[in-house]
Amino acid sequence: MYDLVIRNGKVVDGSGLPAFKADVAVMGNRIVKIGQVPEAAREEINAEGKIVAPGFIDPHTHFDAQLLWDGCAKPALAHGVTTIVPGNCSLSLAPLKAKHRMKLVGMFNQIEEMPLKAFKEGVVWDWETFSEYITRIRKGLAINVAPLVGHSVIRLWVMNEAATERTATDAEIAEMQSVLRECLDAGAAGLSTSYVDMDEKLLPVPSRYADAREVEALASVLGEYGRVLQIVPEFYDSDLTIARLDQLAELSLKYNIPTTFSPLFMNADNVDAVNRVMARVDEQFARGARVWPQVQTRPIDISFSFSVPSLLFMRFPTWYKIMRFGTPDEISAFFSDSENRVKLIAEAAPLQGLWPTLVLRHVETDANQKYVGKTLKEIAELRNTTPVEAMMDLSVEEGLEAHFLSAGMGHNDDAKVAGLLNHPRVHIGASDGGAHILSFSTYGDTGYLFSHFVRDLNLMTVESAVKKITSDTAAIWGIPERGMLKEGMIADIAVFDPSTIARGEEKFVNDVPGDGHRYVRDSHGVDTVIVGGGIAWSEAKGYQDARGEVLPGVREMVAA
Amino acid sequence: MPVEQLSRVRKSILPQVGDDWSHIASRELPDLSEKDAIASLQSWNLHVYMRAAARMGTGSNNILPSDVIFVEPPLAHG
Amino acid sequence: MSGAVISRVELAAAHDGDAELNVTLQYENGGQTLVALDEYAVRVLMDSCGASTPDGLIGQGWHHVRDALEAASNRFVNSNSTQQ
Ligand SMILES: [Zn+2]
Repeated sequence: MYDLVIRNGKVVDGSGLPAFKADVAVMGNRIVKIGQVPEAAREEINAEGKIVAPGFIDPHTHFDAQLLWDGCAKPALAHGVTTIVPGNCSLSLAPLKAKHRMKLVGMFNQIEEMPLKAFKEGVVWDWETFSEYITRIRKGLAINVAPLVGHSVIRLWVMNEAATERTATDAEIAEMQSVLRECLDAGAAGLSTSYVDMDEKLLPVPSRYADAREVEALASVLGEYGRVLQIVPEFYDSDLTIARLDQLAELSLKYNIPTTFSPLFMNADNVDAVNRVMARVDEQFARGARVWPQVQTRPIDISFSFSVPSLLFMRFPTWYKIMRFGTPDEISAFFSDSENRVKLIAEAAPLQGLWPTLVLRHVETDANQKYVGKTLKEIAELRNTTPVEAMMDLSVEEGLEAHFLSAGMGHNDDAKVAGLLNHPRVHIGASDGGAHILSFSTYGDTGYLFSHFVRDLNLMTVESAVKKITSDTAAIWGIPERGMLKEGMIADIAVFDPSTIARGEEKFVNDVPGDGHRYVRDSHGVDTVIVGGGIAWSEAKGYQDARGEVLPGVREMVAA
Repeated sequence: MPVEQLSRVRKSILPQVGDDWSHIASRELPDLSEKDAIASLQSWNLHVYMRAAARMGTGSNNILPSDVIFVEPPLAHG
Repeated sequence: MSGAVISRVELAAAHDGDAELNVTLQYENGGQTLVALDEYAVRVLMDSCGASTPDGLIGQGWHHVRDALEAASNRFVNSNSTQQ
């Protein structure tokens, strides 16, 4: 008698090899058989018509705060993600002295847009060390967590205010090394640093005040453990990105560590630049270095409201001028004046293709809620007007707090992005899950990978897409016994329907402590998600077992 | 592949302790006048101006210890 | 003395969902670099170049870009208020 059997599905085992028909049997937290399983089980899942794959691993997230009140990292788990890596971009919530808490809350507010109130109402501050933080999040953990420790935070712990004033002394560097060792001993999966991020005052984060000597000293500690170094390079400039990846390559070779940098975007105007970056990545891999670029699957959307000037309008002088110089009342009056409207409409005409596609994503009044999620074309039809006029009318009705979204404005050349996603030396990731929560949804990138690049465009096979976000990720990050469906491996499994899997529509929900909001996307086409042999989420019953662990350490579970 | 066989990329340095524009200019571009050398360096390193280096250094020295500083213009490609 | 000038401007999507302006600078050796400016920096740049449209920026010298970036960065230095 097995604990769990998934029957009749097509197994995509994470190796990249072709899918095959088989049953998968689980005992305790491990896969014990893949093939024909005539024996009964305590729990059975019928996966007819579905794919049975290893659970997905998301290597670039900022779920650090959310894990304090939500051990499922919702909605990541429901999308089939069974392991997340928080603590990216030089920021983690530990180690953290009590006196630095409010500074770090400010930094998380800047990076994640996590409101102050959520920390006040959702968090009991009962940790300082990394080990105490791990103990804290382990309670009720349903998703696996491979946490990075942030360089900025280690720097703050050791140097206090001087962390954003100067380079470190030899003694301070030695202390940072021993703090990093403690974090790695307590379960950190590696170290993150950033050359781009800003703190709560929009000034450089502490890690940017470190010289190369300090980074190398920390990398040498990572070498003792064979753990990962993640960085955010100046991704907007290919020469800078290449200089950073060269630095990473030297550290990787000298200390035998895997390194990864994120993000890397592919836009129409930077194709040559990305090709140069990838050529350098290839050369460094040829030397034996590990310098994994992370590429996200989803395109970049632009959002705006008329309460803040947006460069989207900078080619339309009348629009831009009123956005720049008008008070909210003046803008509303301007939009309501019939003569101005004629001028505005004429000026907007060159982008006739764009306006109908804009989506209304947020309004304040109840009366207009019915339009949220609809395009301006749809709204214009319902209101018997034109898209541009609907945009102005809604803005006036909402006191300028009507928010619009222009989808797929960046990282949007499908063929070229697919070329990157398929590249053997590209790491699929960089979702930023749990960050930017008030601006857009950072969830569902795996659904988008399968719906868009695999199903709709046929630019990737389902086997290679699965491999990229499971066994490749586990191998890059040194996460043992996960990322593949094989007898003896730990049972982290995603069962999904290849004909319907997708990221859901973006929606604004109220599920952040302290009455806070965020943008999310529900999962679509995911049937069941198994973590450590337990059903963590199913479409039928929602969130269930909490068997998440802190990785890469493996704790043996006693079979039920 | 030994490091010498890597293809040529744009040349950069990492700042040394106490470096400012004029230090780097005299060290890396000794053949130019200080004024021209600093102007060249700044024109090649606009990323340094994309954030303030508050609380660090004085006056116009906005270079952070973690910065990459290019000592030549971008290479002409293709 | 460097004579880099703005050779191209293009609207782009910043990774945080805001629109930004990508400004390409062309150097005397034919090399190019791309600098992204936020709305504030673009405003300063247009004013200092006396440009009324983005295309009016083309041909302007690199130091306008430097000064616009610096002004945009420095606006945060003396603000003590923590964002909330
Ligand atoms: Zn990040």
